[in-house]
Amino acid sequence: MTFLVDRETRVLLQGITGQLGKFVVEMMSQAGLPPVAGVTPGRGGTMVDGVPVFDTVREAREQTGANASLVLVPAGGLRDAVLEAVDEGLGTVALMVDGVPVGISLELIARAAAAQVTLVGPNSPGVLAPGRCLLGALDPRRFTQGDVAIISRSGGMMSTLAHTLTSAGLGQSTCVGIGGDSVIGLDMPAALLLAQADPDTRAVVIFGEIGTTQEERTAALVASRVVTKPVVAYIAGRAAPSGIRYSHAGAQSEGSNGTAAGKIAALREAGVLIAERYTDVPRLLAAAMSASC
Amino acid sequence: MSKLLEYEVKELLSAQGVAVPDGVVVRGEADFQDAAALPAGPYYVKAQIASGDRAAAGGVEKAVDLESARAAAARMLGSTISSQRVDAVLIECGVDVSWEGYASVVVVENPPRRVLYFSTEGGAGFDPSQAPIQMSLTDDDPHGFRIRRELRQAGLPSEQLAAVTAYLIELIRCAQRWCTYTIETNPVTFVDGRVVALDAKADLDDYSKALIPRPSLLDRADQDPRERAARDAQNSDHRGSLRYVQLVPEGSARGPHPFVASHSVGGGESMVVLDALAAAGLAATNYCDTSGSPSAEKVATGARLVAGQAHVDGLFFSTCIANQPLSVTANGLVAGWEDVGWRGPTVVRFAGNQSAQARQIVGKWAVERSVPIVIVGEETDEWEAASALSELIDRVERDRSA
Repeated sequence: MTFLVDRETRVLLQGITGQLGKFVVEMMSQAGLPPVAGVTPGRGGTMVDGVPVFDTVREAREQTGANASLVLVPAGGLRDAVLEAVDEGLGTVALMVDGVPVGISLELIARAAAAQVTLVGPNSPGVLAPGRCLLGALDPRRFTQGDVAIISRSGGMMSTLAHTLTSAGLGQSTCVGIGGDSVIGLDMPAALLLAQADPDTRAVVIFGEIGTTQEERTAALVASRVVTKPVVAYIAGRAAPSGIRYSHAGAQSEGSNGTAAGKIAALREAGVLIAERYTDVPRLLAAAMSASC
Repeated sequence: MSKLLEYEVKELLSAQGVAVPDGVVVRGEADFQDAAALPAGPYYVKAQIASGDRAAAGGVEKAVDLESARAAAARMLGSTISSQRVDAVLIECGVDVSWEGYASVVVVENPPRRVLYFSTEGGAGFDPSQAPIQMSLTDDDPHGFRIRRELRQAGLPSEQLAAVTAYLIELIRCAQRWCTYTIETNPVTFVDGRVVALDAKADLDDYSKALIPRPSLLDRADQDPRERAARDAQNSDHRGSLRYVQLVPEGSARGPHPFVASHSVGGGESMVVLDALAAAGLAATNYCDTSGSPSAEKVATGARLVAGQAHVDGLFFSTCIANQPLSVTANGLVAGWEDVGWRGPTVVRFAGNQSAQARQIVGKWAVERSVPIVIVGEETDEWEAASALSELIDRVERDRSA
């Protein structure tokens, strides 16, 4: 079953005919998890690596049963593309695009919520349930099927964590890159609630970093026992001076707000296991999972 | 997010029809003539720095007349307040206040949205979570009737209702027009039938450059030259991203830890690298991330900025498990290092797509140039790699001494 995506998810790519679209199709196909459709207005009736392209999401949905979208459309056409996916009521819509203006993000998140569409991102690498569904630009060779969920504010570190778990013999249920921006749709606490409700997930690994209040709200869920599955977290940015904008728009602490130290303290107090290095995660996870049996 | 200075925010507010005190921005002697046209004092002389503790740090002075204001401005200009150099001073007319209130529009989480905060109490240290009006805004806002309803429920007198409502409507419009994360006016006051913003600050969204009327506001003239070079490269080459932050400027006093240049692939990885370097007792002088499949030329620009720092004792490069073809990254690194003649102790850690080829490219260059280098792959984590750099720097220093 997993969460967000599963074997029943039928993925379409909006913006499939661009350079990035073709790259993602190739990656998904090599993983044996190709999309069922693509959408590029004006390119309907063509194919990309055997994937049919449609002019509208409605045509793609009606003719292929597509029920989730990975939006690769550049910032200029992004708003319209996401609103189309939301209007069609697709279950999950993931936005890979980086650099989305805050006003547009706020609008899209509000529209998706009103339509009960789960919006992942922007600035998200996507979602992967290894061996079952790929809704993103992720190299599936680094992931293996299993029962550990990964929730990450960094795309690259999600792959790195998955590789670290895989190397230790720990497979993954759903891996979700929630995006590095400060304004995102599905956030860390919301993703954690989905993992808690998923019968195929036994434990959760979190990659957090400075900025936003996501880790603090995650800690509150664990402290209040709303989340009871084992959670292991690595929080990056202990040595990153505050008040500075780094790569991820969300990774900015101000004074004592949003610091790694504050997040680590809150999570640790709630009962989350804190990895000093992300490479410690498998050891902590194995111990936590055996303790919870 | 880019922080604006007080006078810049007041320009935006003023253009939106929000009242601000009469004032003049002074950057040098020539500007004092403009101050002479200001109405009679008293005046407030305010250092234009982006710091929350400006007043406590001596960045705000009250002056009874223009001569005193001029003297205070002259003292501030060129000085350093809260670790920031003062390049501009705002001389403003004092305003008789009826109350000192607070008004802001802020992007908040859970769920993400803009919220309007308003209180007739405010001033230094005011906590907006205590504001009686905290109104979630939608794309349809601002609506005067919603604001009026909230203000009356909070007990605002009828005679102030129209002015405060108009003020808050324009504040919301300003937030929307200028794509702000935060626009805060604190304190605000009610005087002569209108609301006046006495102090103001704002954070603009860097991603909204194409949407705001004055994009140059996001190009800070006071940026570090390397940061500015990285920004210019990013603006001219949109393949992937280059982000550079100077953490320790050249010429900074040296502490007990060696200075190390830092360069990574991946925003999260770059944070991990800062942590790993600190754990190994190394002081990162910069942050640099070239990710998202940048061209070799763009990586080379980053490599030049990183390796061109005159004050570093070593260089650390590391990637997350990257999708981007790392042979392209390696070619960019070598080109950039070659351009600035980098030959110092170096640790390179490649993980991900084409990491073996990338290691070969850098290894060949290092042999040809006799660079003391350790090249590792994903089997070595960032902490072990950082320790290797620490040891390499020590070894090179020992050999040099011997």
